[in-house]
Amino acid sequence: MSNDQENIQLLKDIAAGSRQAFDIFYEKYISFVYQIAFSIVHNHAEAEDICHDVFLEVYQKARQYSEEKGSIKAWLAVKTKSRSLDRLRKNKPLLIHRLENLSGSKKMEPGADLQFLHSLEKHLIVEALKAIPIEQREAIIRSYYNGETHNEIAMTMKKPLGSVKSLIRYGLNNLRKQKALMQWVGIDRGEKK
Amino acid sequence: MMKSKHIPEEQLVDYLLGNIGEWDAKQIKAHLYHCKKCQYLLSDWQFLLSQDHKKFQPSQSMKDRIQHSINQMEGKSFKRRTVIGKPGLLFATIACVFLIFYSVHSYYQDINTRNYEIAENDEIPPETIQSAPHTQQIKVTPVSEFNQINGYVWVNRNRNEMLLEVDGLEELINQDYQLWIIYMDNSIDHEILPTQNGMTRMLFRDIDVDEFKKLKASVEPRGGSIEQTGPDTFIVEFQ
Repeated sequence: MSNDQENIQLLKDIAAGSRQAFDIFYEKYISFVYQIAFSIVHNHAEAEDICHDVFLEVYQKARQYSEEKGSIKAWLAVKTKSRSLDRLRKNKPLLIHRLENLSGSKKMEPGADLQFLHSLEKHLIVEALKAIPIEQREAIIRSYYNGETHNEIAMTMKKPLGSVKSLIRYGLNNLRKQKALMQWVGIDRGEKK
Repeated sequence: MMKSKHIPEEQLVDYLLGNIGEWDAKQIKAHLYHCKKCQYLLSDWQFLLSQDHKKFQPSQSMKDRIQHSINQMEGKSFKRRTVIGKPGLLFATIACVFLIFYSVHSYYQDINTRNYEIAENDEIPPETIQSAPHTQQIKVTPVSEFNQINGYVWVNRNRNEMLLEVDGLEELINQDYQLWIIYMDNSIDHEILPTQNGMTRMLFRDIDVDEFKKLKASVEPRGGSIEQTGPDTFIVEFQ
């Protein structure tokens, strides 16, 4: 029996309730799963929690593996990434720490222009923006995301220039009041001066 | 093969791990040449698979923790009934044991009897049954304390597929939302609802849509239960 077939058989045995098969499967893949989880969250305890969730899911849903979609390693890798991103989304301090860690250690992580972290960063900022009044949000998005000038914003929003400047100023102050974001959404975006 | 669609993530991982045949690898390369989205995804995976954190390893207690969770989970599945050993009750005890055996046996015949495929949240392809012909859309009904829940189920009897999209699910600590699929013959399948920012999406394939009687979700201990223990959160009636 080839290695792949052996591993697929392990999953079938797990699906049938074999704890022995699960033990073997765990020993084979724990390191691989942990390395991916740790690369994403950069936190030992969180990476272990992710491994816990992934392997528990394997035990409960071993029959969901489909050979047609790819290898067992690929199945586990995608599952681990997905659970790791869930963790980052749910745990804002962890996400902020990870983003800071990335921006402060580009030398340690060469080429780490990670798209999944950029989308989480956007998500974090969008969440923060949702918590401020609509007009302040609109003014900030137009100014910082769309690159519109204050005059252009004043014309579009049909408000005096002074009001637009106040909206942006109050909006930024409100963003900074969200403690979890103070370090990140600040002008330095978490980078040490 | 992949001219219009993006490359499935599993296939990209296999491509990097060298698990792909020559012909498929050529197809992937050709797609990557013009697809920015897949290039970014590939670059993420190149990073993730190249990291070497050997100095950080999962602790030995990890396995014990997982084993403990499985034991807890299975403990719930096989609730043991204590028989009080009074001498005069021997006959009653034997009868009880027989009844318990019979009911547990019948119960497990009714649980998770069907095989189907599931894709969750990000795994769901952009084009699903929502816009397919003969797809029926049914609104999810929130239950009592969960009025903020909003969502739909799309079922396609020709394709034997169901898509569930629900949002407004409050974040739970040490608990999961669990979906119960109840069929006409009263057999039940159950799945944990994977939530992301209060939202869940699940696509079921090769499922007996024609046999659906009811869907409902409940709040259960983390990892789910073999039988419902927590309050209903939403229901979908098919009759």
